[in-house]
Amino acid sequence: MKPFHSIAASVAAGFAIGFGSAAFLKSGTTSPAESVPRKSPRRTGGAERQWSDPGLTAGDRIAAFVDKASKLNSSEWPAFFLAQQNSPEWSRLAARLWADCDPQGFWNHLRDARDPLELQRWGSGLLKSWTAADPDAAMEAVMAITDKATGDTLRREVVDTAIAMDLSKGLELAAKAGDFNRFSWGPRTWIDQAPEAATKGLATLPRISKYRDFLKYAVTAWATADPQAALDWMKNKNPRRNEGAIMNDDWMSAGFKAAAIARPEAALSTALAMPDPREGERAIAGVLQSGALKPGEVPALLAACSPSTQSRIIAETIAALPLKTPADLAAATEVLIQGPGSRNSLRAVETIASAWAELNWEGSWQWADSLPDLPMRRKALEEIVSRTPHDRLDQLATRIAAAPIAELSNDLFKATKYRMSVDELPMWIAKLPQDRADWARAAVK
Amino acid sequence: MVGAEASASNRRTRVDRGRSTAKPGRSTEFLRDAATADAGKCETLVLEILASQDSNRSVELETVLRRWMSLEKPEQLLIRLDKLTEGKIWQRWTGPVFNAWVATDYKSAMATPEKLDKFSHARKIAAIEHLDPNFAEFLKLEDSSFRESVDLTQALRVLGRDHPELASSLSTSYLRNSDIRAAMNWVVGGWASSDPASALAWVQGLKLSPAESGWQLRMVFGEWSRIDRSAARNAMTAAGYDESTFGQLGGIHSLPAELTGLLAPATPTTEIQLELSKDPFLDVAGLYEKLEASGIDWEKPGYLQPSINHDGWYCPAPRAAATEAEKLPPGKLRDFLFKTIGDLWSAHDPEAGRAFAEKHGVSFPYYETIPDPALRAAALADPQATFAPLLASSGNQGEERSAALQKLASEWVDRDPKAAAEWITSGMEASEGDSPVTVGCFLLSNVLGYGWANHDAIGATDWLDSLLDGPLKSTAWKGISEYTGKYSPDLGFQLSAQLVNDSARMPMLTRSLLEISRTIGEPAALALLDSPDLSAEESASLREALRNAASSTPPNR
Repeated sequence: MKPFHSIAASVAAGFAIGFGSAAFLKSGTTSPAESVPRKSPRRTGGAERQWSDPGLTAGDRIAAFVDKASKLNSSEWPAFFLAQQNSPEWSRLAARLWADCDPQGFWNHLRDARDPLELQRWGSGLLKSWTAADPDAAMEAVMAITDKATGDTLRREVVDTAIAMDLSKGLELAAKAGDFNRFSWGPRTWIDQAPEAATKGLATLPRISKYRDFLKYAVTAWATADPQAALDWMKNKNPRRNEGAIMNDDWMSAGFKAAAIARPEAALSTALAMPDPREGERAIAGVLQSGALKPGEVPALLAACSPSTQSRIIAETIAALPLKTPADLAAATEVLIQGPGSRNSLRAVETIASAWAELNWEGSWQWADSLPDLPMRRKALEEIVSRTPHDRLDQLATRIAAAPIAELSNDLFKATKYRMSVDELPMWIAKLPQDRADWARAAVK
Repeated sequence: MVGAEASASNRRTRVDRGRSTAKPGRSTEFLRDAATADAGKCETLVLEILASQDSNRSVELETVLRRWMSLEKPEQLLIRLDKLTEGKIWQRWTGPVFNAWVATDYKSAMATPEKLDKFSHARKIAAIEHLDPNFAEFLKLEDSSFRESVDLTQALRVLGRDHPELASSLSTSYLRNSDIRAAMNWVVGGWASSDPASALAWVQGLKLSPAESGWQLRMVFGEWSRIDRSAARNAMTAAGYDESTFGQLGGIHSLPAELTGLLAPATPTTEIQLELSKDPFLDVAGLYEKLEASGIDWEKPGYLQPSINHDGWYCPAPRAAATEAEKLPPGKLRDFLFKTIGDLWSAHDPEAGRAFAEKHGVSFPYYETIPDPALRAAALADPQATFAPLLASSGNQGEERSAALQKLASEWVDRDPKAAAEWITSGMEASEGDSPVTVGCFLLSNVLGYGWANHDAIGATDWLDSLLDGPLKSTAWKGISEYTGKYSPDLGFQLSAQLVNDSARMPMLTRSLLEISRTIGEPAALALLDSPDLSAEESASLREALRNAASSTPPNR
């Protein structure tokens, strides 16, 4: 097979290239390209080369170029394009015009060239333009790509362009596109414009579709705008409830969280009335994460969830609680203690410890001592130390001296480094008992 | 063109190729309008494009601005655009603005780096595209988006491919700049795609250290492999290169398929990936032809990366692909393709995938993990009876539907971990002929360990306390120890000291103690050696292990 780029030289004859012409130089532009030898000869002259006519102004050359391109037939386009493809002035315009005039021809040309670089250079722009004009044809074209990486990129161009234009058509194409790697998601304009339609449409996508990941954002937007309608739909009308995929979806939690922020009582009563217990647990998780419930309601609801759900949501649930007063912190601690022992629980410990240290640094040490197991106490002390005010460094040394050795850690001593200056640190460490001072020196080294 | 290539290409042209007709569309009309616009009209068109927020209109904007710049001086127009759009034009349109300026007056556009740093990225691309002899100087300018820019990497690859004599001005004197080093990789890749031997000679002539040249040699031999694997292999042998040359820490299997295919015998995975890198449109029949010609022994197929969640051959329309595959000659190779397509089809449509598997008597990984509705209902109604085959088989691979059962068992643990735990241990107690060490340990680790202790280490160990001391309790602890230790390393160590009394004891204690020393601190680890559950000999041995680890750990760890 002949490489794509080498075809350019052989078909260039008969088509002029504006770049490098006398008119270009006359306009005052001095591009260094003129002095560099090129592989592809750039020829000028002939009846069809109006856009490079030296007599034309720069502006008129553009008009002549567009006029010339718009009159090309399908068989003339490949040679015309190949003659322009390495011209910085004309290549992008030529590609845009070919994509507009004959997208199927442009696609066939790129496909038959079997040159990944050229497909990458021109494919994306072509498909955006083609999708705007004929989304089904563009989708059919990219469905023939069997290299996963290339297909992911180009199928995504088509689906994203189609969704931005017409949600229903875009989701129809998304359902065909299948699985994606390298997929990013987040809030989108098309979701904000029609959150209900986006939610309902995304929920009908097959389980394999990565576009279902947008459901979390769509249902959040809808439940924020119209919580009761979103709650009713989640309870009664979710069309894919029997697929067995619910355990891996977190969109329902997101929907209930958003609804609970606006309508806590309605969200809670709907969550408790969900017909499928697995969905019910997701719904309760969302309500708990919203921070909309009274702290006293949280422990019983959390206990009703499985250990894995409790572990998954405990950090966010506690972070959403009020943490301003000793009573708030006591209530949060009650939630923490009745929850599971997992690494996520330790994130919740950090949250409460941080709030305690800000509110009452001395009190936070007593609170840490009350925690039920060693990993929690160790994590709490690390966080409290990292929030020690500079005027309490002496008390910090006293506290560390008195703490059980098992509750200390490398991370605790590392945190002391950032509470004082480099000059102060050695003197502060010297105030510690010998065993702790040795540990501190090793940790901060 | 070789026979197989020719037939694949002809088939594609004959069957698949869409018919095209040229007819100017909306964009052409817009561009025609823009190309003859006066300044007032240009202003209207620019505002229209910005209001659309459609990034696909960048060429239209560039064209309008080129027209406008032919009527007004670019520098003055930029100031006017800033005011006119209240700065919005710089949010996503700096590329087309700069391209218009460059097309109008290259010299002035490229001469203002300090004043207009918003153009630094576009300026780099322009310098490359315009074959500026000083393009490397522009590449050195600060630009946070350098490495993520597809436009820039494409421009560098085209430069290397079409103008290696200019590209080679990127010399070792620039190598201290990390952006230039990255740029060299793309340039080398482009160069190698048209002339790999020259590209290799250039890289070798740079006299770089092995660490610096590893990535560039990857680019050279990757491209060379696509063009002519035999020649690439000869060149690699002649240069004395092996897998260590390519700077890869993960070994040969973490290298791209183009390189793996040069360094090791062909496998289905490497062959497929190599062919896809040459032709991203490889259809079912084409794939069959390539694999048939690859010399692979299909009686001993190598590891195949499944399509789902991996980068390989992927057909988003598996039904059509399955129909095509059914037309192929029967045999191991066709069965291989059935599995590849069927695996994908199951992910799209489990029922259709199941029917395809039964029709052709094949099975595939994804299909095996899908519980059918009846099995799911049975698992909900009577989990003990439904999961009995798992207990009888230890959940070993090859057991009929064991993957689906394991998946459902994980859901059971999620719903009711204590009931699942009691069922597993009671099944282990009742087992005859096998020791509880083998029967059920898979379930304990993969189901209870991951499914329960991973989420609630304290709940899982509270349940463990309820078991009578003995081999069963010890085995149960081994199953959940890893995940318990992730939450509470100290508790993990103490329970291993209390409950494990066989040959696994010291390895488990040592591993646990070293992890505590690493993550919490050596004093915490040493404190655990006072445990009454350790003998004096064990304490001494563990202390020695800590000492050895400390002496072999580099400073600052």
